[in-house]
Amino acid sequence: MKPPRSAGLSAWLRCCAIQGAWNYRTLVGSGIAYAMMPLLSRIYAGDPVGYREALQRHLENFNGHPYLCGMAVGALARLEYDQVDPVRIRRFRVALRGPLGTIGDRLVWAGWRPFCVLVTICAFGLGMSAWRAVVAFLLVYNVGHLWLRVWSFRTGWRAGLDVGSRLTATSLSRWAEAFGPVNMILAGAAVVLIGRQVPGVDSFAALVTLLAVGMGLLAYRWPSRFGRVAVGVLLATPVVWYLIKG
Amino acid sequence: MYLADVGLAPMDLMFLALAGALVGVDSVTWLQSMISRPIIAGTIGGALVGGPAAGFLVGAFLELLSFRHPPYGAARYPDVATASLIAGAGYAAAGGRGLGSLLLVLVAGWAIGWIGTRSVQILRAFNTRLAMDSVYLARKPVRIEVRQRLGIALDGFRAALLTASFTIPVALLATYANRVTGRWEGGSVAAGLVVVGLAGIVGAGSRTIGGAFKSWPLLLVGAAAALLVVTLL
Repeated sequence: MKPPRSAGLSAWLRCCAIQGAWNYRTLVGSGIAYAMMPLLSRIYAGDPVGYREALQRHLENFNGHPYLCGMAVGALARLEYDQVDPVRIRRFRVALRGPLGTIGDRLVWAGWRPFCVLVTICAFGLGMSAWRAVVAFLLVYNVGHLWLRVWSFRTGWRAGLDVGSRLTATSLSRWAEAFGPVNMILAGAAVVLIGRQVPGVDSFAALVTLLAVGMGLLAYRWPSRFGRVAVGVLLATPVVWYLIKG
Repeated sequence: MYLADVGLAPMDLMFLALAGALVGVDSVTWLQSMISRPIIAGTIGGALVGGPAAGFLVGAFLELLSFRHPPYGAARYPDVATASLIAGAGYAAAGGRGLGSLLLVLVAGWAIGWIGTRSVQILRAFNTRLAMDSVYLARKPVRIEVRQRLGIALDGFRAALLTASFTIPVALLATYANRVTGRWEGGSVAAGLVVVGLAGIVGAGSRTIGGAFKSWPLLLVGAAAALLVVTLL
């Protein structure tokens, strides 16, 4: 039977806890089954064996970006509703893992989140109060976050097997790429604006600016080597300070 | 050095532990609304001790440091959520000023972040033991729900325990660092080194936030624009 809207809402809410029992064996597999339970219990109403078998299928290993896992939950529930062959469901489940992880990581972890964080840091550096900056961050970030969760769940349920083509047809990847240059500009600005807040820095002396620019660029070019050097500079600061304390 | 010196009452510690549980859970196991980001967790930690701006500053540093360790795939990254809360509270408890205490809470925060990561690994190993064969779990579906909720509850407990264990030591050390370094000269050189180190860490981490190989001029554009704005303001 077709699951009611309340079951869909319940499944969507459970998607927010999809990583609750993250483990090294099934990753978010048990989370997928947990989120699908309200839908599966309606789809297999009056068929306890079918329900158990479906749950068993979805307890298997799965991984994906947490905001986009709703798409997998929706699509897999749709396949169960459409009574697609279990072997095909398993294959589809495996095929979904890669794209959901890659697109989510690039769009959210490398794009949207650093963008919101860097804008907030810059706003604080320019004089916005800490509370205002924090509230603005949470509001703006979560508009994107919740929209993505709702969109992915709905798209999954509506598209079913076609979810892959829907995913490639969207502009999510283009958005992910668009954040890159903006985040770079914001990162440069954030260093200056937060650097000014360091106790003891009265103003950006020419030498400090020059050294900071040089270090930033070297570390950008050779992240491993000069990233470690930069950490070393931070850790060595108290020692240098002790030696020159006068 | 006494507890009273850092102005942390038992109630403060209790609220910090509760906040630690919230930000810890938000980090991975539930919702991920990003109250677990260092700028938010640091501000909350600072605010609970009376210095939200100090907490934000510490959080901003830890945020920029954490760009080097994005949570892609199975990558290991520091649990900066509870670490920022503790560091933000510690810095605010030490008065929210002074380069010595800032440096100390940053180092402590980073170290606690990796300790937090270890505690997450232990929890995940425990979850793995609970994720028995799918036949057993599917036989009684309520078992799946219990395991999922237990995982979230244990994560909250883990984060609360971490916060309760490290907040007082960090606050005491930060206060002590301020007392010692307050007498030292050469603070502006040390502050300059901090800025240089920060620039290097952000430079190295910017590749992970979408920076293409040849987009380094954009870092300069951002820095130059910010310098221009602060000069004009």
